[in-house]
Amino acid sequence: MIATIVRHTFAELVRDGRFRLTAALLVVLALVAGLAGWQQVRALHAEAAAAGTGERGRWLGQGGKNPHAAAHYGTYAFKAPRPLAVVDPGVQAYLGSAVFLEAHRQNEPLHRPAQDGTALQRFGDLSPALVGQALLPLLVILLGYAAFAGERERGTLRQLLALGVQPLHLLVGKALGCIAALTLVLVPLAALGVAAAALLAPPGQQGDELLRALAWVAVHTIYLGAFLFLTLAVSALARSARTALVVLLGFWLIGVVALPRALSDLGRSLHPTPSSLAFRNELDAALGDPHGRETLEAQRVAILKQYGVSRTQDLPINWSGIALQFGEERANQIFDRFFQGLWATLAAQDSIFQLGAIVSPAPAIQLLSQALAGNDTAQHLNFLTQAEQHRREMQRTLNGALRDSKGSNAAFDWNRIPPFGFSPPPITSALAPLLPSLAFLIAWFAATAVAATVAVRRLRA
Amino acid sequence: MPTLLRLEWRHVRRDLAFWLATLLLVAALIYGLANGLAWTRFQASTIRQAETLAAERLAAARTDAAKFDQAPPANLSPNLDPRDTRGFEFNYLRRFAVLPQAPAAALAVGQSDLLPSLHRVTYRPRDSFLHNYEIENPLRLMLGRFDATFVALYLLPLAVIVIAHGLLARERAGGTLALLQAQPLSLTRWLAARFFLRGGILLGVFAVATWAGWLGLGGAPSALGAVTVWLALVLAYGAFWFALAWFVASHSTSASGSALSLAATWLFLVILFPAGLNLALTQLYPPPSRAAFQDELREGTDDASRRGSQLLAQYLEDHPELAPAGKPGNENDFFRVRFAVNAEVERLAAPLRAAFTAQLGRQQTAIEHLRWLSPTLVLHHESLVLAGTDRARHQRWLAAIGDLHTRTVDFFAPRLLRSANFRDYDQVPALDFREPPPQRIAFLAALAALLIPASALLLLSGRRVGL
Repeated sequence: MIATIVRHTFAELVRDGRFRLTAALLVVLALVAGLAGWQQVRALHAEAAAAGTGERGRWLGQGGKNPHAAAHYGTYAFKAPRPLAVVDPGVQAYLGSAVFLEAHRQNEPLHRPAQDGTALQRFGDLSPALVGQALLPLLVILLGYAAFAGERERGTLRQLLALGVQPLHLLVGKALGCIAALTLVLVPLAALGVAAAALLAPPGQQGDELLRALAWVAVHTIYLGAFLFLTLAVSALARSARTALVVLLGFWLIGVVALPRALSDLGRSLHPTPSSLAFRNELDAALGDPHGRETLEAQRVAILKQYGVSRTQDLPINWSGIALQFGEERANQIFDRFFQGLWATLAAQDSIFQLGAIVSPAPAIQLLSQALAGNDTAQHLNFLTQAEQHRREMQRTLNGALRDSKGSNAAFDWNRIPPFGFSPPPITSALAPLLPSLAFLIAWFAATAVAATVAVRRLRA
Repeated sequence: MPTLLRLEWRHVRRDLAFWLATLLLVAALIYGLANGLAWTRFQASTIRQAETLAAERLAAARTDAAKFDQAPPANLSPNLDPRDTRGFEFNYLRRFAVLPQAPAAALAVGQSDLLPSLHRVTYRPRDSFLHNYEIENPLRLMLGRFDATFVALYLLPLAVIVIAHGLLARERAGGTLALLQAQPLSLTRWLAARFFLRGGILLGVFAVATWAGWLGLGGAPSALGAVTVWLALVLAYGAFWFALAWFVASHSTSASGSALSLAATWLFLVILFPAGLNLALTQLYPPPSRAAFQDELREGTDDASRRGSQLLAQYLEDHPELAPAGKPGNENDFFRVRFAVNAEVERLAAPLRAAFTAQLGRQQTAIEHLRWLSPTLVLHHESLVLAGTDRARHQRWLAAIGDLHTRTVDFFAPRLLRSANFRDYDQVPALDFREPPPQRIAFLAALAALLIPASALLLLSGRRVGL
């Protein structure tokens, strides 16, 4: 019986011109956006690689320079896009793509792609993620709002129940029929994600990226499944197809369109970030003079005692190397305090957003999708952390070389500072802070499935 | 008609969906206004901080200069001496170029959370101070703000759809339409009463809530004029959606079909068309690569640094009036070489920056033309212009900053190169940013662009009403 209902539902849907048109439109939109994203990822990758190569060449070609002058000359760390930006660019456009690594300063990233765009971008990026998270739920509503309410209006529900069809079988059959129809749209999206992971991932990262792509497809399937069961539950409960449609569209509007914005604003109200001006001023005040001597005096006395001399000039090592590294270590503690505090505030804002998944599954899928694509705030901060670690190691090496340079004319081997390379966190680390989102999403799926089951058990013609 | 309206009012009073939609819309509007005003207050406080810092440092320069005149400190670095141009510029001058807030800025946050609204302009190359972003959660930037313009653009049409999609179809499905037609009553007049009453109440409540919310939440009373202009556009936009609902209702046989058609139109106009247009324009006029920009700038800076002494000699040859008096050589002076290198870097960077501005300008021009195709884009564009948070205003401000930078270089060049004692604290150039006169014609054109299609839809609908 279930198989018959599945076949009937599927055939009815694919014969419906509105479904065919909408599904085709969504697939075309997703593919066009995905292919544009593909081209952009490749271009940005090549540009970041070329700029990185140029930067490395300049670093190696510094000649006989004082190591501290080289530390001020610094180097740029460029961020290459992640392969799954093809399906979900996430917050990539709103983050800087290059960080200047230099002595004494932990710099903020430069060049947000969005700064070169128009106000239109604030309507949202057209991407497969937008299709999957905002438009496909609408298609699900279109597929299912009349599943029971329509049968009731036409009088066919009474006939079905009179024939002895179990309401639960009806639910399973209709759900599977809708899923079969939805698969026609989901498969091209999934194929795009898997292809991007397989073909655009750098060597050594394909495995993780493929896992991410499969997980991306899985969470979207759960998300759409929740919408499908919600739609069927409302359709079973509603007195008319119109009522079911209005209720479902209302839920979509509030849950998918309005709620994410409202949550992000609420997050900032509850956990405000300082202005950039205030943050920088307070940081500068805390840092004081990076070459400051007053806190260095104790260190100087200890070193002099260690070597048994009374003047820094008499030390067998170059004192300025020690002094500079002392300044770096001191500044690093201040940077950690300021930046960790700022990032904790951003994380607290995101946790408010995550809690919004109680009201609608949309915030959960948005966070999970971005994280799996590698384009969420946390993984960007991971890039910044790795870049900062590179900067600190670079300063340590250069200051060490300066310290040991006394009495030596040997030029510094610039190869001792390795090129910066970003190692993306594995999928498990990316998902760890989002376990509540995953739990909410699964809970939505389970709750809507139960709601649909209860609703059809009470089904009355 | 008054009798019809009275009869219809009895229906409206019992229409739960209507009052629920109106209530939710007003709640969203109040939240949007509160959010917008909170943002403008944050911006205003940042501007005050910048102005206070600038004034404090200038006062400190004067005080320290007087103190050092009376008792010159031993071993004072020129970089810390306010009587030295270098010291004043490096240690005391904290002059910010601020993009002033428009009175109605809270209506539309627009691009103001993404693009910086203050820069500390120095004589150094512009790229050393132009990349100064406000701290903001990237997720929030991506999602956009829940401001009053978001409510008007996205939620107002949906409220109209909820209210109006079934006004004719339900009567048709229930068979009462035939009964109505048997009455000595024009069906068009009856339908007009249904739509106008609901539209009048919804839009009237929206207008009152906007004014009351603006004043109640602390919006500047002086901005009420701009708020009213915005409201006029929003009401015209609402009228367009009511007219569309009427048109769809008159062509649809079921309430569900009517709701689906309206939802599909909303989806196209509010989500797909703007996002698709943005995608198309970024493909047609892609911005140059920022990584390549950084690479070229770095290479150019290196090259200029290598040729520092030569550049300084060439610079002084071009500007003999700036040559240090009695010291014709002096090419090895690190600070002066740096100045010549900066000038060269700025010369190299200017065309690279211009390439970004040009592509952005092409995208902007295309939007200026294509926005007339969508009422949503018309309202969006005008809202941003009224709020002063549009890209074009920001570009004008950046141009003024470019001019200020040029004047700053001209101001400091002779003082730095000739090592003159510095006392010109009051003569440091300031930003000269002027607002263009209000674009009344653009506003009227936008109003017409919203009302003409609304009228056309009403005319077309009137002929179709019937069984």
